[in-house]
Amino acid sequence: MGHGYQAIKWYPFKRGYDGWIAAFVAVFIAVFLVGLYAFAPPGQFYSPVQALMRATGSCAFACLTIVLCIGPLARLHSVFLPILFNRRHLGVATFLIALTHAGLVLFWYHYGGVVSPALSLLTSNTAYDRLAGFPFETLGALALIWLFVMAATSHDFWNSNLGPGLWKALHMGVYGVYALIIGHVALGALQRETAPAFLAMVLSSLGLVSGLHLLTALVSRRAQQASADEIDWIDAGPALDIPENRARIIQPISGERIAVFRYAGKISAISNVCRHQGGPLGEGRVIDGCVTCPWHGFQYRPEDGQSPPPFTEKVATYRVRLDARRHVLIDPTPLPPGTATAPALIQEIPA
Amino acid sequence: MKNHQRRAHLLIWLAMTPALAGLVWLAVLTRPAAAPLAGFVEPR
Repeated sequence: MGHGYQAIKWYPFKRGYDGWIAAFVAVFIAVFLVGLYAFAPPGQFYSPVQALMRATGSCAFACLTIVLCIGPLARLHSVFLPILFNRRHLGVATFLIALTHAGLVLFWYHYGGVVSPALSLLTSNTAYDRLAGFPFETLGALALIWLFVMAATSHDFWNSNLGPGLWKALHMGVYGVYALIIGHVALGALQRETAPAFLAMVLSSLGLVSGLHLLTALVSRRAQQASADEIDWIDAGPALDIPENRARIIQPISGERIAVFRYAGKISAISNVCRHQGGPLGEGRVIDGCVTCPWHGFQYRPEDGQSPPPFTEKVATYRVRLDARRHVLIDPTPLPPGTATAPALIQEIPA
Repeated sequence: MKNHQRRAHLLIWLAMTPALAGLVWLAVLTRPAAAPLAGFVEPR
């Protein structure tokens, strides 16, 4: 436990991001409430608490859907990268909205009895052996607990202390949370709400989240096959085709992806995997002479893969050279993290 | 993202997509249309 806590740094982009989240939540809940009362089937009545319960539950579900879509969207196109940055804020907002939903449920259905509200929630229905009337509340409670764990450990302090591997595994639990929520909604709200809008909301969320993840995996596999013609050195294409201060990502047949950067008339290659949370360095830019991760801004010098002092992160580097056509050739064998290797100079025309 | 993580993501979604879609389908099929309040705990 050698990592110290650093307070969250607030700056205009982060405030703006949170402002958009708050605005989205407010507009969603307002529109949902109007729609719920305006289009309620005949004979269907919602008290204000019940309506808010529906609104907050649906809003948390929508936020979770967006959280899950941001990752694949950012991998498909860099225009979505800004919303990937600080995605955790949306995750924490999702937890807070879900907590409000749970609080309303406990207050409305389980408060004031002889047993505690939480116990009442978990024990009033134990029909786990059938789908109709399944105690869907338990699924929601489990999802809420895991959302809390992820929200509580979202700060970089926990990423440093738990280590990137454990932290990532912990937060991959968001897929489990999504499955629990789908079960919670399908066996709960969808049992009562017969309006097609509710089913459409669940199916569009599932289609969007699953579709984007599968599409991203497909695109990624195609990119991998396209670069499978390596023999010894990998031809990474013309050096001048790489935009200045940007990278081209190469997938060797075996091993991790390689980010080939062009900057200041030079070409260097480093691992595509950021040491912080595994972010795609090749989708970042060279800022102030350092490769900057698009996810959280961790930086590495392109020549040796080391973070500038006082930071100590290191990524693997790769030997590069240019051939007579000025194509970039990469030795796919990674050098130990932090190993300095000479960049290829674009101005020099090889013999 | 490392290669094994990428493969894990693919496998997770290949498995989860039909499972969740099936669950929603089953839940809708077994919906008790005549009892709109079924599945909900009544206020005490």
